Amino acid sequence: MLSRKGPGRWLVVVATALVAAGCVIVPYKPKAEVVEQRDVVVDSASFVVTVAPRQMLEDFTEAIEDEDDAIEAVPPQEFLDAAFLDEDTSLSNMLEPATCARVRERLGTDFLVLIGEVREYTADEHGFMTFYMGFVGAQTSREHATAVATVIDLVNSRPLAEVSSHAQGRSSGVGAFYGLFIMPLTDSSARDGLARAVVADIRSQAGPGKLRIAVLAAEKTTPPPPPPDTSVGPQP
Amino acid sequence: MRRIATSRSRSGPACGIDLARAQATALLAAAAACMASCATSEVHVYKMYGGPPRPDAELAIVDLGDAMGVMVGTRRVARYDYSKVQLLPGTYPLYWECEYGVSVMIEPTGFATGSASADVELQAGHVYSLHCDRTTGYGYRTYQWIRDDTEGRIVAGQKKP
Repeated sequence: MLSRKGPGRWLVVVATALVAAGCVIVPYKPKAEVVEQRDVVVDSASFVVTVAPRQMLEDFTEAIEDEDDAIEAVPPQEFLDAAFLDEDTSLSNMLEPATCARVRERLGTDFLVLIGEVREYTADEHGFMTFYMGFVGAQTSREHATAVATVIDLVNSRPLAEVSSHAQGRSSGVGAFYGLFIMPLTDSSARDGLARAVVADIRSQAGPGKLRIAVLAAEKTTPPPPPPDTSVGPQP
Repeated sequence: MRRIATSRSRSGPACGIDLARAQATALLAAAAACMASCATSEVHVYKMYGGPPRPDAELAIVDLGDAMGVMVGTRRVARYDYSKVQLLPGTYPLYWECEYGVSVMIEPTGFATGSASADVELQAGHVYSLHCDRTTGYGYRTYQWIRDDTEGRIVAGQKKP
């Protein structure tokens, strides 16, 4: 019997929260596999430097700064404003010696980390689960996340390294009105793996000590997709 | 925390009152923090032009409004990253996407999407907002349009009648 006071009371609060939530999620972090490549050749004309994925850039910047607290990232928009004086924000313009010199002089940044698209996908799905009236069923799948980055050496106006980080983990869930889910934090693992490798590359080139970098995104210049005709829903 | 621990080591009615107060205070603080975080949510503006920042009077602003994301030419912007886009005046190809919650009896996923695209002439000092709406039930229709808020007129797309 639970008393009104003491730990029992908190147990009631926790149990109520679990009942209200309808599920328990147990997250875990799988290990990331990192692949590095030196002597990088980039298709610089096909990419633009951008701050569009703001949230992703904040997450990667935080991961890099957590990995090495002597590294400080400059605000990405400030870097963009200093680097590009007109509308041409292409990577080829970024790699011009004059552009690199300008951002080094104005902001003191020696390295630019360009984050590519983070790809997440699910494979190897088994089982089923419905969730319209509580969680019913059992399901498992393999979750994948891949993050890529190119480190630009602004001192020498050239790409220093390309890093790819891949994390995968099995996601499982079982439900009988209430659900229990085991979820791999693949995106977070891939990000942390990428941050570790990027810091190692920067340190191998720059040595120890305080350092200023910029973390921005590289986006492929692709034409917009044709708009699908989704203006009318299914008929009865 | 310390006060609660001290109180718990005692017995009697005062203990319960202190705990209740502490819990109520914690709940109120959590609720206040939650409300404050909603109230002070930052507005992120995407500066989609080169060079130094310019005054608003020299820029056209696209407010993502109801849209999940917009493409300006080949540049994609998601609403969870930015709520507004600053552009130099000119004509731009805009493509914007909307997401709607739909009954699972009609769409098994529970969601429907709609999109629209148009070449829009954006004028300096004007604010444009992207809108999404729909009808409900089987054969529902989605409507996507862009409005010049400065002049109060629809410049592209179809507004829900």
